Amino acid sequence: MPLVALVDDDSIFQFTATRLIESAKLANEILHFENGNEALLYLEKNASNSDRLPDFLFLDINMPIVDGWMFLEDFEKLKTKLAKDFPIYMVSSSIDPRDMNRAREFTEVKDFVIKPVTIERFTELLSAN
Amino acid sequence: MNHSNAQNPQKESEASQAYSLLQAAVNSTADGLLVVDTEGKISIYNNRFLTIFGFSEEEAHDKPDEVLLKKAITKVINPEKFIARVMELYATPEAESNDYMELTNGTILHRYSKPQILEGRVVGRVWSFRDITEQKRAEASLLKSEQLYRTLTDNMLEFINLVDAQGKIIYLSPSTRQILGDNYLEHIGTSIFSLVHPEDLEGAIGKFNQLIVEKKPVKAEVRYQKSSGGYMWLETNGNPIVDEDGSVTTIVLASREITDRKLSEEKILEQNSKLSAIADALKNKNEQLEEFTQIVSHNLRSPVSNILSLLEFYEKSDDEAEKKSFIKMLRESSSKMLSHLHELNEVLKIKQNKDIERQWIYFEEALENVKHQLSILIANTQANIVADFKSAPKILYPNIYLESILMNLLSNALKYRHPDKTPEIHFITIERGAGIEMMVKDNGLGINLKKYGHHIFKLRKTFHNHPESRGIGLFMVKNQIEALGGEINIFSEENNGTTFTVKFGE
Repeated sequence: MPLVALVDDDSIFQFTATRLIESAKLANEILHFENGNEALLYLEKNASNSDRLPDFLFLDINMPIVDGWMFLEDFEKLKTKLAKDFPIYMVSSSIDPRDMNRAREFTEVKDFVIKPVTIERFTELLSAN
Repeated sequence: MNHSNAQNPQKESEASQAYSLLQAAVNSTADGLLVVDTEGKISIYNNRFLTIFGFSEEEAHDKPDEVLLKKAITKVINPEKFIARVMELYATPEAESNDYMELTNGTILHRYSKPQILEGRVVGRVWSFRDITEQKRAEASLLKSEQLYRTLTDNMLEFINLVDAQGKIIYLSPSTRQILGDNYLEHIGTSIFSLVHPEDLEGAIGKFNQLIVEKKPVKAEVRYQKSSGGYMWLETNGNPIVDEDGSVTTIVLASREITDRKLSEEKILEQNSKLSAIADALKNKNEQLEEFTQIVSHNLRSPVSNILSLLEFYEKSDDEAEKKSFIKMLRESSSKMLSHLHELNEVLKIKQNKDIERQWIYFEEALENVKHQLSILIANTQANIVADFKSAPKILYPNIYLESILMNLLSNALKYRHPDKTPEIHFITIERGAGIEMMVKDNGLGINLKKYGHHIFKLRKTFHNHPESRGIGLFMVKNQIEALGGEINIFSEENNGTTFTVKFGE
């Protein structure tokens, strides 16, 4: 069962997403981060510990301090030091095509997911490998 | 050559010596010579005389003097006048004569006549004829071409003038009257530069000096003062006249009026700058539209998607306690959406309110008002707020905007204070050419502009983990300032405080 990281400042999204993933038994454990900076600090700290690195990371765009884009820029540099490779799903309420195109420029971003995310969509995303 | 003076054989050898000298002298001159005695008999003539009057050797030979003279007279234009002049001279034998005459074949002669005097007595008259046909013709054609050029310059629409190497006016064409009025000739002798518009003087003198140094034509566009007041745009071509030792003595200035062209040029430039201002405004509008799309798509959609998820949970749940917690979260999301809508509305109001009423406001008063509203925060942080509004104490500005700007910048400085320092916040206003500028400087946390600089004035951007961070303030302030043609900038360094500069615009 995978380890899933949710990077989002929206506490209600954190709640609904956690509840959906847990109810479908799609994850062993869920890591919660309020913004990109917190997530980066965690990844840096556990870079060589593949057991503590997530198997999937859901990343919001609009967040305080370090937003989704800033996270991706820093993540590109951090990636080589990580003991494990994992896909990033960009999760946003934005339906702005410019955001989608921008997300595609990052090879780490496997997909762009528009909120709200249904249980079916979570199942699909978390069983893909 | 002929003679009629050889009757005395005793003196012949002496005389023949003198005669040969005379003969040589008489024939070496380029003038036609004729000497006639008081009786009207020819004493001497030379070959040149014959050729000038068009006699062949044969014609001249063996002809009695009277016949030759009569024949000569027939070759003169207006012979009556010629004879009258001759008779006049015979009546006053001692008189000298100096005049011109013309022959039927077009030859023009300079005729000079002097009495021949022997032992104090007038014995005859010496005539000399010089062919000056070529000289006269050259003079005439020179005069004609000079007249032609004079006529040309006098009748040209262009303004022609001549100046010396110091710029002193030597000649002004009559067309100059259009600029300098009826008394235009009064300007002759004055400096051409005294007529040039002060703003064009430096350029005009520069071109003039270039012409003197390089001895090459130059072109300049210069405004000249009109006698009727105002200025006239002229395009002037300057051409140097260089003398034998290579220095410029005179400059020909040929000018034509280009006022209309200049005015159209100015109009085009004006239109251009208007168009680019419109383009800028449109670009600005476009950016604002993009910003709105972003606000709508991020900030409004996100609570809605939460509401949808929560509703689904609610519908599927049988647990009353759980249902209650969903309702609570639904309420939270709804009020978040409402506050987003409210903010969006506020921003829209600013954009629509370009012509919002301005009034004179003293910075001191406005700041006191804001300090009063933030008095609890100020007291808690023990902040030291220093204001210096001496050099620009008041401004014509919308009251609510100034209050919003001061409020946001002050509360920002208080919120992001440094945990180890007593907050110190300076407000300074300066009067600049382009309007009033305000600086707000703090010693707070500062911000890494390299990392966050491009986000600083965006909606919902916060850079500190702070419960009061809403991320709306700077976005609003920027919109208010820009709506009135001003700008706001930030200078900051992490841990070293932040300075905001506000240019209020004109």
